[in-house]
Amino acid sequence: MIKKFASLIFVVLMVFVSACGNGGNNNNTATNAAEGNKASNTAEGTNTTEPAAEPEVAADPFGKYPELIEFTTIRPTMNNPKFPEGESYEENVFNKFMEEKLNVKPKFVWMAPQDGDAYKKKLDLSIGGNDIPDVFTIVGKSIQEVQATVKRLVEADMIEDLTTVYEQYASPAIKEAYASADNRGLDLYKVDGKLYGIPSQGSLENFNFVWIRDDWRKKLNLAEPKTLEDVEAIAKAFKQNDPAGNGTTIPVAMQMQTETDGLFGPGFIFDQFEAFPRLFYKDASGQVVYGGIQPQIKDSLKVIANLYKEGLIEKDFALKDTGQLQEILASGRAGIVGQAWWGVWYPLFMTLQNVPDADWKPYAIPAKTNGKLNMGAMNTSGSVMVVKKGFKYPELPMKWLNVINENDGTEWWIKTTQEKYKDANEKATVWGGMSIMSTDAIVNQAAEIVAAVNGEKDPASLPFKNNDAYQNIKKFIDELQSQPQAASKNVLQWQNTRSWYDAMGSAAKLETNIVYSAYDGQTPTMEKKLTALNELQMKAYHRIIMGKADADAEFDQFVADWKAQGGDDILKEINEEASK
Amino acid sequence: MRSKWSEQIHFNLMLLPGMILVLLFTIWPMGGIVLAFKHFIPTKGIWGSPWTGWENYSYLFDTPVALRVFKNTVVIALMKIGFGFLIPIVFALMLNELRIQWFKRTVQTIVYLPHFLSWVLLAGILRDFFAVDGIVNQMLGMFGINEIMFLGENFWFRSIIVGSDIWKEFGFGTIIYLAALTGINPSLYEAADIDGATRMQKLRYVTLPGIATTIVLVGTLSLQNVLNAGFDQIFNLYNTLVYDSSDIIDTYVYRAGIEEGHYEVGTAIGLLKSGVSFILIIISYGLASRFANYRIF
Repeated sequence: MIKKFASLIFVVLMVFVSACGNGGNNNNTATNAAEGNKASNTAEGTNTTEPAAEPEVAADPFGKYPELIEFTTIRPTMNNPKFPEGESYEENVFNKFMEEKLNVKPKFVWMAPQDGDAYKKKLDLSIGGNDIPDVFTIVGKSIQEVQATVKRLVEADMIEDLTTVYEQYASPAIKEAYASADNRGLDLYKVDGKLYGIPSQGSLENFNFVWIRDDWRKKLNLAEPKTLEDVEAIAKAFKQNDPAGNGTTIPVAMQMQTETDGLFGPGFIFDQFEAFPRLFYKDASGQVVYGGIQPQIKDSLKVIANLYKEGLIEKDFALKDTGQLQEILASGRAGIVGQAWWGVWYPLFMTLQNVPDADWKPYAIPAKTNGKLNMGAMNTSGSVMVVKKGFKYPELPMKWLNVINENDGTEWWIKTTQEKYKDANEKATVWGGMSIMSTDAIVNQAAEIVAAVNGEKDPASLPFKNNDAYQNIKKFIDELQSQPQAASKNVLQWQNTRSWYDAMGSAAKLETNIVYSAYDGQTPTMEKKLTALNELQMKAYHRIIMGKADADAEFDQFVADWKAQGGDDILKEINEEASK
Repeated sequence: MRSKWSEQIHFNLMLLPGMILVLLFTIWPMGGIVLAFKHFIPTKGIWGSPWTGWENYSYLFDTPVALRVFKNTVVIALMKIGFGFLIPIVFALMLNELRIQWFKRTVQTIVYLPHFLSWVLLAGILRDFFAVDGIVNQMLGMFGINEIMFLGENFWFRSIIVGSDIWKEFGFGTIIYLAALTGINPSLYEAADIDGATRMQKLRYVTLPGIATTIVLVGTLSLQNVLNAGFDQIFNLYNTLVYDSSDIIDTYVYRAGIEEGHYEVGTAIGLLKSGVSFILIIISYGLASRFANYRIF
């Protein structure tokens, strides 16, 4: 009896243990499946070269698939997307267009908000769980982070080698765009000489502009700013006169929690002194140096510290995140912010929704040190599209990007986005892909538009997207801008004018000085210590700005600490790699 | 022997589901701790990933901030353990002296409530409370005190971390002591009354010895938390300005390890913390059995 019962328990336990075993074995089966994939891959590897030999299928960058192909993917979402009736991320004009062009249809396994890293965190979990979709875009706070993810995927043999796909399927326009940056974007995502992802690429025109509430400036009879001192004087006037009322005016709205650049950052002040806080660049002697520890940083910090002391920036600016800054903007309390040339498209237009009289205008302020418009240029390939190992159509995302790149400037597409997806949120929502731009694309485009507005160029000769901007600007300048509430009643015309004509147009009048980043990879020491070093940097900057320590002593101490705690090793590693 | 087994069959059967759950959710996943000594590659799984020895630990010890995060962890945890241990006892004794039952019950329920709120929610409330233009600063302003950036200053931040943790949890601890207090034989108090004991003497010679074992038990169990300073609380409240006073092992590992996808680092640190906690439990258990003559097992 005892034995019988004991054996009963034993049997139950056995069943249970083997059940557990199975649970655990899921991993193994996954591994097996992955290995199976590998095997079938190598088979397909030869397959992909085969059709290349066949003339009809062979490497047509825009070739339509004979049958509808559904592929799984994921995407970041915008805040509060409001779709027109019956549309969604999966069902919309854009996806239908892609289906017509290529006979492909994305199926979203999951979607997560772009804000607050949610998309990235969820992607990391998918990767860790060995459960990735066919095609996906990797994003990150920095290029190093994206690179590290790509390396991890390559090491785990989870993504396809796209070297031949790129050579055969990338459209000439896209190849040209990469070439404009000496293919540095592609180089970032090569492992052992093989390309594992198609990177995005931005145009190099993100100068920091000083955006000013021009309705306030005019009301207080202040002149347009030409120097940093002028900007400070305007900030002081905003503080004294309190145009927002009830003491709620925030003369300079600024954010600097973990980054020194980015939306609402103090970048325009750093540029004044040729200071580039997060950039590794080559100095005059050809050595790679770190911008964050250069003496001109101290000069910039002193200016910000002075703003802080006079109460021109918020006391708790270091605690604010982008969301809180957007609230300030929307409520119409901010007087001056640092933004890129496209600031009116997002997020400055938010002010108009609550304050109909508001008007933002950008000013390009030449630097105190060299009188130029300075810019520290990180590599702009900050995200990358990759393909799951074993996906049957590794060229699909390349074709997808080809089609987007070819059509995003067409009359049909611009009209559709403007009419059907009027809200800026929605426009970005419908886009499914990344932009791959030539580095001088925006500058050239702006030059054309400004020339047409100034009557130096025949508007009829402009391509549609430039002509459209021209029409809007012309209308705004000639008839709308003198009317009351010009901006909020004609948002589109206002946005075109302020971004293309005022921002890019004024930048074109100045001599520019672009300092390129000399190293975009990740050295072994960086991998271990850069997080801590970046935090050390932000802490020192915050202390100096908030006047908690003597600026000179604190800065010297920070530089010494930064070097001792791994910074010197990083610079050594970078310089060694650069001299190879 | 035979009869004993047949009598106990149904007891054993009743034990079985519990045992299965323990095996399934506690014993089986323990195998995953080998990840602490491996380099995790998703396609290869936990078992197939290559071994790396102690390299995952170097992630924590090589960083320039290692000393800071260890110090913060221990200091914050000890402050929480110390205050969190004393306050519920004092509060329970005070409540116990109350004569009006409904008042006692109401207070008991109210102080118990915050225990059920999550830190994500509470952090939002606290942030509004202690913001530069928040209600606390507005009240201070009425007394002519300049606004203080509570969440941005190291001194204040740590006090807020410890204070809000005590506020949230002391009600729960109080309940345990109140339960122990009801277990004291009333005839002891009667005997003390007959002997002419004062209230303080009754507290000293009847009440405290009556709940001494509970105090020792709670104290012993709380010692294992010396390396647990409360990730979800700090993570939801902290910012770069107060890393000096509040960055703990867990938050650092999260930023530098987990956010970059190094799950093995997380496992390694988890194992280290468990090891330390295990040693501390053994020590405190030894102390408890020696000084309070109390045995948990």
